[in-house]
Amino acid sequence: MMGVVVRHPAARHTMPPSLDAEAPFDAPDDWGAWMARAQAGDQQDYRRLLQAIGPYLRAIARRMLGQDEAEDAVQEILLVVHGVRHTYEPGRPFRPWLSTIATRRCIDILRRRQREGLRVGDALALEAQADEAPDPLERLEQAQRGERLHAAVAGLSPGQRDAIRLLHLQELSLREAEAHGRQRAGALKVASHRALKALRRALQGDEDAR
Amino acid sequence: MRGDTDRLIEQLAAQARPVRPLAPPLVRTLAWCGAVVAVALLVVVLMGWRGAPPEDFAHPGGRWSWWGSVLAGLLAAYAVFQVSVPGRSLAWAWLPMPAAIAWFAGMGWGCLAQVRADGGAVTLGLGSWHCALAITLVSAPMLLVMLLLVRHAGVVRPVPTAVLAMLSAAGLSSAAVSLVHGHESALLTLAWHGGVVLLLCAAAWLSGRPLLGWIGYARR
Repeated sequence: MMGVVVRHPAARHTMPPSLDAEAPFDAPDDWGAWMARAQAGDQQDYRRLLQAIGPYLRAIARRMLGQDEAEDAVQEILLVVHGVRHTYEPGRPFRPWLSTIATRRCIDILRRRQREGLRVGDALALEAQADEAPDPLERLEQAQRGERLHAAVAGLSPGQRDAIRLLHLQELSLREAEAHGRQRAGALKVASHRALKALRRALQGDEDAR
Repeated sequence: MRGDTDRLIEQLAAQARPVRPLAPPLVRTLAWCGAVVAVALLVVVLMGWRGAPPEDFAHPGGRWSWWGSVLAGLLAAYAVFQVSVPGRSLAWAWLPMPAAIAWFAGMGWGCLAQVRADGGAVTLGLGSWHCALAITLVSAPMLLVMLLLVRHAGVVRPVPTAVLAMLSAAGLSSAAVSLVHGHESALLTLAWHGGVVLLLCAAAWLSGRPLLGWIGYARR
């Protein structure tokens, strides 16, 4: 294997800090040997191996998933490594075995993230739609207000209804309303004033009655 | 977060019971062959030996097809035991392809010869359906055994593993069923064999990921 780093046995227990950064990793022969002993039940070598591969896994996870999810991914990869540690064949290179597991796990996390992203997106869209639509009580009140307004308008005289339609609904000036309607400007002004007063009274009375 | 990882490492290390490493792919393939021979014998006992040599062996297409299916089944099994292990090359998935091509080519050749001999008439009887059903039923236990053997593949390559496992089980089932379908010896029945094998492989393609995720270690 190219670029193998041979360390003194005493130095095996801790990895140098440089491995914790994004530095290139040399997969020591030790990793395969430690795994072989872990398969035989050696807890100490297994712990040493899991600690040693942590920075390597973290680098893969950061590259594929970003900083935020890297640590969770490392933990998931460690669980998978534990579950399939019998699939490592002693004597074969360890790093391809480990990197296959790590990259596949990261791809699965990406796939899961995409699925959950779609689900969250759907939920947010539904929520936004729900926010825009009035709730049933509000719809009922709107309908009742509409009915009261129709009843109040129906109670106005034809001249007052014309004045409201021309001056307030069509928003015409007095002169334009005079040209369109059958009343003079002064009469329109008086009819509009009386109509608004009557409507206010009618709607106010309903509010008080409620 | 890093503290959680350290605690997890401690927990996993404390659970490091001895495990038996996987045997090499060749050894596992031979063990698989033993299981297949047992299933084939069971099929012959249950369905009755139709008498050797099978009639469709008289045509070279029939012979190519039968030997191709056996070889494709065995090589697909070896490929399964390679690609399902982390760190092994995916190129192993191509190993059974030449044999599978010989299998399907022999099938096509035999069918064409049969159609020409019958003066252009194509007859596919109900018995052919029985063959397709028999292949499916014989493949199912074989596939189940194979998937249990490679249940760790869910964390590596679930889809190629499932398709190759299906190809292996279906190829060997097809060869086994060819030995017993005495009432239906026409080469055209081979078309049914091919069709059902393709359908089963398509089903494995679609269901491989959830199936191995469910059976194996993969956490979805």
